[in-house]
Amino acid sequence: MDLLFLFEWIDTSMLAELSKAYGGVFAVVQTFHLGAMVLLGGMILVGDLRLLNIVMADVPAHVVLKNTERWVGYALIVVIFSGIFMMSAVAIKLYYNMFFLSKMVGLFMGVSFFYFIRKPLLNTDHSDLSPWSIKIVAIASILIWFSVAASGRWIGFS
Amino acid sequence: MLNQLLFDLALWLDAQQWSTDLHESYYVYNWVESTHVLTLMIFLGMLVVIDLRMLGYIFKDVPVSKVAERLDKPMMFGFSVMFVTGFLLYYAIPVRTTTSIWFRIKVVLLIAAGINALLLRNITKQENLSWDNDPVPPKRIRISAGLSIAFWAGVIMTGRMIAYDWWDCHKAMPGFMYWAAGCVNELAELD
Amino acid sequence: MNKKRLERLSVVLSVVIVVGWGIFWGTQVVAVQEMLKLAYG
Repeated sequence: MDLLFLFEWIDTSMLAELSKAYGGVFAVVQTFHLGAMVLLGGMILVGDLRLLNIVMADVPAHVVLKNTERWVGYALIVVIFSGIFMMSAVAIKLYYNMFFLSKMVGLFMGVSFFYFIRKPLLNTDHSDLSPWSIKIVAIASILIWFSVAASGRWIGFS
Repeated sequence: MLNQLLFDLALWLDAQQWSTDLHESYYVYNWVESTHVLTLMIFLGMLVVIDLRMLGYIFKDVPVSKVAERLDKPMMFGFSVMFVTGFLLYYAIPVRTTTSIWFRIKVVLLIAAGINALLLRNITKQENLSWDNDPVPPKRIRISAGLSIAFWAGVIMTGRMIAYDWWDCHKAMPGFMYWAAGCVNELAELD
Repeated sequence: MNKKRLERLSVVLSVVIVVGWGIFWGTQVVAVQEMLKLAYG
């Protein structure tokens, strides 16, 4: 399946005209992207580190997850919309960029893992789960999101 | 005067071999930079949770002091990493960074964020935290927490903008900007 | 899906992710070393 048409379509869209013409607007959107990354990464980390008993060990884990999950959702919305805007400025270049692909795969995995695995499995009482299951889920979650952020940063270098 | 002093310091750093090596090493420089950016999620990620708790938006049923204390260690760990990598980034490109208007605003915002954090700490110590269990803390606490988020958002923004060259010293801009950015020698960064 | 099955599925997926992550970033590190060798001999 070749997705080049999708990148070409975005490259010639109204959005791309805006993002290419105004460097200042692009930079501001990028700031929002970074800010939302902080929110997303922070909330995911607090949850996962709690699952690993590293932080907030005296607060029940499902309480920590319930509190942080809502913010992950907000952050994802900002990250994705600002990301689409940023992408439109350099769409064709990104089509050929390996780290953009790895970031998108990571993002897809991260979002699916978050909503279909971590959230349904862990935001109720954990007493009937093996502690090892909980820990491996937390480690997988941290690794996925690390990949997303690291690939994202590396897009700029490659 | 101060501009000249800072500029001379930057020139002195710039003349060191390590500074040049760090700047010219593609992988080392980029990994230092990536570490600086990714550690944002540890340092500011924890900080934003604490600030949101003080604003009454998250962990309403957990005492403020508990959230702040339990997240303090990872936050300070993140801060240390950011400080060290941040210094290395400055050390690698000292002249251009010293004369960057964005870097200067960033430093001012960092100081403001630090003072705000100290004040908040003093308030919380004095009052023996009568509002520790309140879902939504008193107004002045919320103002301080809101300021904290605003300052740090500014730090992220100005930090990102350092990479853009719109207002580098060799570009045409108003005299005030030359002074504010500390452009002692317009062409120094191009050498 | 009942919780036991979800738990088992989660563990399998997580292990796959951890191993896959190791392979992906492992090869990146190797690639970095290769390039360093090319650049500096």
